[in-house]
Amino acid sequence: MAHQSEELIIEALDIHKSFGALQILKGISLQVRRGEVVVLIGASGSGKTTFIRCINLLEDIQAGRIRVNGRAMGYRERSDGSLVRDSERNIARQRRDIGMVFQRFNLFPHMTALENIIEAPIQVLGTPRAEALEQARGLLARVGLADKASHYPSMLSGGQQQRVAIARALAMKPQAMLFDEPTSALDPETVGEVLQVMKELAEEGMTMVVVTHEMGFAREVADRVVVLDQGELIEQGPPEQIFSHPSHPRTRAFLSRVL
Amino acid sequence: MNFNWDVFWQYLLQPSGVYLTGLWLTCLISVLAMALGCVLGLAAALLRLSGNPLLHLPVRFYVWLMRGTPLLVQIVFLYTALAAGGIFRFEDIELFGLIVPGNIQAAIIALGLNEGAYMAEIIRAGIGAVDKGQYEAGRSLGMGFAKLMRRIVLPQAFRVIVPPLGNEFNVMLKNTTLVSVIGVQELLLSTQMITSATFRVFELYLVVALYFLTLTTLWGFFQRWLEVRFSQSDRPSTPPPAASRMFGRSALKLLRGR
Repeated sequence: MAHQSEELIIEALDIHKSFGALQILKGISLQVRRGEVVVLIGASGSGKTTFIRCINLLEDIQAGRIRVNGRAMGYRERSDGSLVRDSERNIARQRRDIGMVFQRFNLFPHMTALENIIEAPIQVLGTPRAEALEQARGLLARVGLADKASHYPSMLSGGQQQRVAIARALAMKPQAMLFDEPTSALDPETVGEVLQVMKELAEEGMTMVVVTHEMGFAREVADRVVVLDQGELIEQGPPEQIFSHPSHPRTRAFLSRVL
Repeated sequence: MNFNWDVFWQYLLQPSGVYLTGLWLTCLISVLAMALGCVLGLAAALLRLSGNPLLHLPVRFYVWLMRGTPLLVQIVFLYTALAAGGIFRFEDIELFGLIVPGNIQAAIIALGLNEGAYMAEIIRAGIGAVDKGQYEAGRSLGMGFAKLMRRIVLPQAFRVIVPPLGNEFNVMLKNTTLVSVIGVQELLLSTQMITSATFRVFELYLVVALYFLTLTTLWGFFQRWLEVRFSQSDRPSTPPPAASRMFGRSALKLLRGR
């Protein structure tokens, strides 16, 4: 998209992650510039979801560096080069800069749509309630749900819940947004409304990292498509290059299965 | 049959002052011990979430000890045995111009300590029933542990905790009779005192049983109201989540265990 600058918002360097003996990420590096939309694709089990969860430290990493907005995320280096986890308080502070949207929405079921959105600004940022409410109403309107402010999540469709979840993440005024398969748990007829909101967000210049199986979205909205396979980054480039002239045989194999 | 209806009706409908004091003490001790049990239970449940063995091992020991010994023994131990051993004696204290006898303090603390162990398990199960995604959502919004618990997890856990909490209070009301052994004049000891003066044992014990039945029945109505109130805030059209239905059963098992 048009708004990119050279400023790096997310820098992940040589990320290693394993669950027990199983290696999920085998040294993935990714840099995301301000305003850039990066779409991660790859087969199930390729590590895409784990990778973006590592970016905001929902998963521990065994090795590697993560910097967001120029600041190291979550880990301090010991003199011997090993990593120690930073304090919970520091990690919580750093996570404010990154919004996350989950596959299963994870809205707070005991709060209305509006309460879901104002919760973190009031509790975490200390925003005055009146200001948070005004902002939240604006965000709900932006995702097309101005009339659902007082609805509980259980009264909303999947697509509506996901749009509230996007508004909730935006309320923290994040530097970047992570989307973890945001449309995979949706009924087919509500996928479009969520993708539309994401597309508008991209056009407004939000920095986004998106894990998705929606190849149409990747082709249309992504600035860069990144292909993961078995815990490795095998190929990246502009969507037209990846979709029309994939260079890696495993990318070709993957695309031939999904397209 | 030796049964005097006049005595029965008189004590049932026009209880003497001793009786009313006993009734009042039963309620007071139940409420305070339950409050203490909830506070201890919450603290214990939160400590048990910790990965640090220095925090969760003492809690496991506490729960093991309280659930593994009879409540009656705990009451006598705390009030009588500790004093006899010269370790600690409950003295009467003055609180807001009121003298609180040592045995009532011991009664509340013993019942509360015991209740705390059961509440710890109930609250832990309630917290465990909250979806993992809720933690992730809270964390990704920058919430620390305390905020996450207070604003997101505990309010949802509470809905699961309310039904077994109600059962616990029902049990607590009845368990207060045990503190009669350390001389607290709650309903049972009041009754015993009156029977030793009037020798109307059958009538009076029937009356005390009916009193307890009334208390627990009234509480039952309140409990039902509470449950309806706390299940209202969301999912108006769907049945309770599977986790809470499962938990209801495990809570029953817990209660039968005592």
